[in-house]
Amino acid sequence: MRIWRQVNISKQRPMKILVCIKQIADTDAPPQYAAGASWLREDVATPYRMNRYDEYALEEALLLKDRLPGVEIHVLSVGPERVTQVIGKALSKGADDGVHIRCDKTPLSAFETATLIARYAAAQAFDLIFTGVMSEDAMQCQVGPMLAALLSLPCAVSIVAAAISEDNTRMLVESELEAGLKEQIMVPLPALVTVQTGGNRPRYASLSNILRAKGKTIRTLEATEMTTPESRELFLPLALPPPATKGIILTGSGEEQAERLLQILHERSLL
Amino acid sequence: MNAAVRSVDDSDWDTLLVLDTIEDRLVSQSLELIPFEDILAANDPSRTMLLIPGKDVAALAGNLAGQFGLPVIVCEHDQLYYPNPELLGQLLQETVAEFRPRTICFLHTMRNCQTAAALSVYLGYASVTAVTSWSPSADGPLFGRAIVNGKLLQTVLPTTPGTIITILPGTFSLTEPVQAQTPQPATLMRRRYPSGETSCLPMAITSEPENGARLEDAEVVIAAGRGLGKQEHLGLLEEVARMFANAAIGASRPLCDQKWLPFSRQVGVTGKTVSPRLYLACGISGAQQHLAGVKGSRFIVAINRDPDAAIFSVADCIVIGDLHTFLPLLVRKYRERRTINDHQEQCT
Repeated sequence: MRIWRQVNISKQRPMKILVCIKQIADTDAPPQYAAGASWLREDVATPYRMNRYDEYALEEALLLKDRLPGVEIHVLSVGPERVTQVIGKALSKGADDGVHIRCDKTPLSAFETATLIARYAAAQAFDLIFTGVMSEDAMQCQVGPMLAALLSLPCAVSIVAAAISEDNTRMLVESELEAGLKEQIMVPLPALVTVQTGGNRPRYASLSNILRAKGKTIRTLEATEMTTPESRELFLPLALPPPATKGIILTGSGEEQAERLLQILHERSLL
Repeated sequence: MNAAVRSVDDSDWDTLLVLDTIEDRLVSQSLELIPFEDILAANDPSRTMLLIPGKDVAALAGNLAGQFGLPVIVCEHDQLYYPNPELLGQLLQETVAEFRPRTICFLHTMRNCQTAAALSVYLGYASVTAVTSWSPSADGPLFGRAIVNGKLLQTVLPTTPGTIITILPGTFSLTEPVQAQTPQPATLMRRRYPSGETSCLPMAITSEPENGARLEDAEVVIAAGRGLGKQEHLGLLEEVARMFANAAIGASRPLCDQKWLPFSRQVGVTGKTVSPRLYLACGISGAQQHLAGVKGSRFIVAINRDPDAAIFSVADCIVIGDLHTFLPLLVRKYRERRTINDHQEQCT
């Protein structure tokens, strides 16, 4: 996050930022699911971590806080009790306030998640809302733009760079298109942007922030006490993808595999 | 196309296919939506419409209407010259009110997901993104999509009368040009919206300068993923690339995020779509977002330590092993073969 021109501190008004983060089961481990279930198991030991896209969204907010006075970062996560772990992680990186919307239902549709966040955010007058462009597990790319539509906020997605105007009224963002193209978009604030990976380098928690975070409490709101909409989609039982039947598996020692591959490439006139 | 084309005055169309343009030029990949429409066999194709957004795209729309024999809605606004998902979502509300399509399809891109999300909120339609399969059921169409890096398949049943979907690129390839069986006179419905204040204002499109051969033009793509481990190991890929006459190095997104390679080398939904004669995937897990960019490859070889890696589902040739030991062996064996061949040639 950059700032246009020289910032005149006296002109700068405080900014209230919301970063929405999701906790996901680590994608490197084999996914655990029970037959007939429509989402991953909650009852087995699973390594969890912050959604990678949200790490970049949080970093974009933290960069703004580093550069401007009066920036307040609120982080929010929807999910069961375990998600307070990623809220704590965000606090230890420098966020100021944590909110947990407790909801044990899995999976939530994007519309349900966005509505729960909107119920909370509508009364908070955030100047800027950041989300990751998608979650690594559900990969829907929907919660951010749905939240923007529910709150009637301008929205730009998949941003990899942003600069904020001196008076905090506008933001110039670079939104990633496909094939190496980018689009520059002027976004009036307040607004919501979804952040793509690669535009910054998420930081590690500093010792001072870890200590400061220990003194902070995470506020909990119960989803059951908020009016929740019906999901517009029904999620049927999960399944494994069909086995790879198309390809031939090269067997034998490494040397034999290499020989065989060269032979195949040669037969196909690729070498 | 046996059914007579219905009068365009009729409402309640089945399907609206929203194509993409950038600077009033068609993004040709969005034509992949058209074969998908053929797959929705329960739908009468005469009840399908295309929509072209842009600033001045009536001529383009006329060509497409003639080529595919489908009615085309021309949705024009000065600020649709560059992609403007927010404005498009607002304008599509009017299109939907006018024609009442039950299914609205987009190609799966980040900006189309934005339009889909906003429309879903405005219209109360279900929204299912990154769809890779479709099947009918007594309760309505079931949409399949990959989750958790392609390791699991999720099946989604919309519970609303209307549905918005985005289809992952490469899912339905346009193998042969679709032609109207009986040439239809082009039916164009032009909706031109006055330019006024819009909230988000697209300013310009920029592109990263490219060094070396373009990835899309290479006959062989040697691509690396997170399994590469360290940036220094890129040299291994370069050695493999030198085995071929016209090879380029590609990568999955995490490597470009780390700045090991520029984003012009990235293959996948958010990067480039390639269709080389050989795609050699080294240490790539194969999330659907990546696979979408390689499906057009004529021959795919995948090397991965994880026997369950999703990349193997599209591979023609599978090596379960560590690229750090396999690739040096491959290069060594190749050189040995070359030496023997050279020797034989000298002897004859």
